[in-house]
Amino acid sequence: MLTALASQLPEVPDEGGQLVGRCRAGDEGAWRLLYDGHFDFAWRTARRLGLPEADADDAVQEAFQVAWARLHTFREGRFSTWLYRIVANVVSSRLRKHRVRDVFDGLFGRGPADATSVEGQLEAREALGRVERVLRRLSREKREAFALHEIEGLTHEQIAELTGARVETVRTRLFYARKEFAMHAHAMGVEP
Amino acid sequence: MSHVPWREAYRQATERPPPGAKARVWRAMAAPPRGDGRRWWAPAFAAAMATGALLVLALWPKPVTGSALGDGYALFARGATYSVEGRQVSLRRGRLAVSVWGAPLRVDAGGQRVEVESAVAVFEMAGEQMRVLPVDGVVLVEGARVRATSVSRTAAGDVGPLLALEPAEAPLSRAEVVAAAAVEAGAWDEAVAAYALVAASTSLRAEVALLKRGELELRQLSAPARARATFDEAASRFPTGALALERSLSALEAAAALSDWSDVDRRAQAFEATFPASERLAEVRRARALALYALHQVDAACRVAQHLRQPVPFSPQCPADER
Repeated sequence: MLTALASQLPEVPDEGGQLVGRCRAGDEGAWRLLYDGHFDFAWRTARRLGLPEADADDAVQEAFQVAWARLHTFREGRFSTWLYRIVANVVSSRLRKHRVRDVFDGLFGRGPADATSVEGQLEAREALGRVERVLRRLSREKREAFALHEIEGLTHEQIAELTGARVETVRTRLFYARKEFAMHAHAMGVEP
Repeated sequence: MSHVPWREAYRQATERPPPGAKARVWRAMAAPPRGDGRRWWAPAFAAAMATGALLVLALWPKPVTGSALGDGYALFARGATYSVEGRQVSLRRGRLAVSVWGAPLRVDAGGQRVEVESAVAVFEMAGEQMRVLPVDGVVLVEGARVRATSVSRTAAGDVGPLLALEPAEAPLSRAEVVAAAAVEAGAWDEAVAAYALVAASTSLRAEVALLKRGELELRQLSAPARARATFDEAASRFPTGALALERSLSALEAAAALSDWSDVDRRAQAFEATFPASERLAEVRRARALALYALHQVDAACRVAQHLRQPVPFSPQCPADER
């Protein structure tokens, strides 16, 4: 029951049922409906998992393309849950590249390459960039648990459903994620 | 660095995509695939992969327990995965006993290279590590000579079936290689012992071994009495052997080294009778002449010396017609 996320979704008739069936049959109109109904959700998920805004469009595009190619593997349940996992995968892979870039930037004495930290940007955007960098430092599992709970406001049970993990596991991940986040956040001047 | 309340700011900033993002991404996406998105070639690909996997499984080398006989070598494998190409054996897993009596065999295992010159050795792959147990003969591990050690019970279990495969002359070939290597290394006692092993057989190689053993005793160990006994043993075992001439000369030399002049005289006469046309006859006669002189038989010595082209030290004492 993804109440918080579902409340953000526009009305999509028969979510995950008939529409997916029509998409499989090659109905472009159905695909457009599915896309329109889930774009904001996918974009928000990507951002809240720590992906910079400059990358969000590309990540969402990639996620929808993957969803299309693998639509035949969608069996049952909510389409949004299935799509969430694809988005999370895409985000994870992109953040990995960001982390490598951050490490190299650190090695060569430059600050992490980020559009939001360019000189002259607004302070709020800089703060946003710092939060993204802190999120990037967490492992995928901890980042998901942290973002879904602290930012999305989902319960442990909802996170467990979304990520396919056990509730106890989510609790543990969250515990360590908070500790790590607080540590990195303090170092980067992000208020806990 | 200023502190900012991140949670609310972040939540708001990531709440909605920027205007136009949805349409932009839709346009950027390639036209969605038609049909149900299934790849038509997927089943064919899966079938090809499965066939490939089966083939690999069928061709994958399996552990073997048993023996094999090659050109100048024998192998006994115990749960071993190995392959042989020419004179190179690659051991991947398990234990392999190798006996070589011909040209050297190379054994590669665990990144190590071992040259089995002429030896019996057991190789064992434990994980990625190779263990070599040389049982007999010469084994070169990465170029370094490794001596045979006492045979462990485990290795003995593998060596038994291996030796049963070998031809009769294999141990002799091995001993010859060991002896030659020992001579090269200046390990005279080891060489003598190895030749003694070959000499115990009843073939030409035994005769050769006796001669080489006697030569080592005479020249390297400075033991002329032992050398003469060895040459005499060779003469009694192989009276008409192919190496009788060389052996007789060496025995004569041993007798001279012992200052046993009567024996030198006796051996020289025997040589002349047996090899009257030998190129070495002059040399033997000269030795006899000197021996007779040492025995104070000056006349006899002069008679023998008169046939020599080169004068002997006592020539001035001989009558003029015998010089």
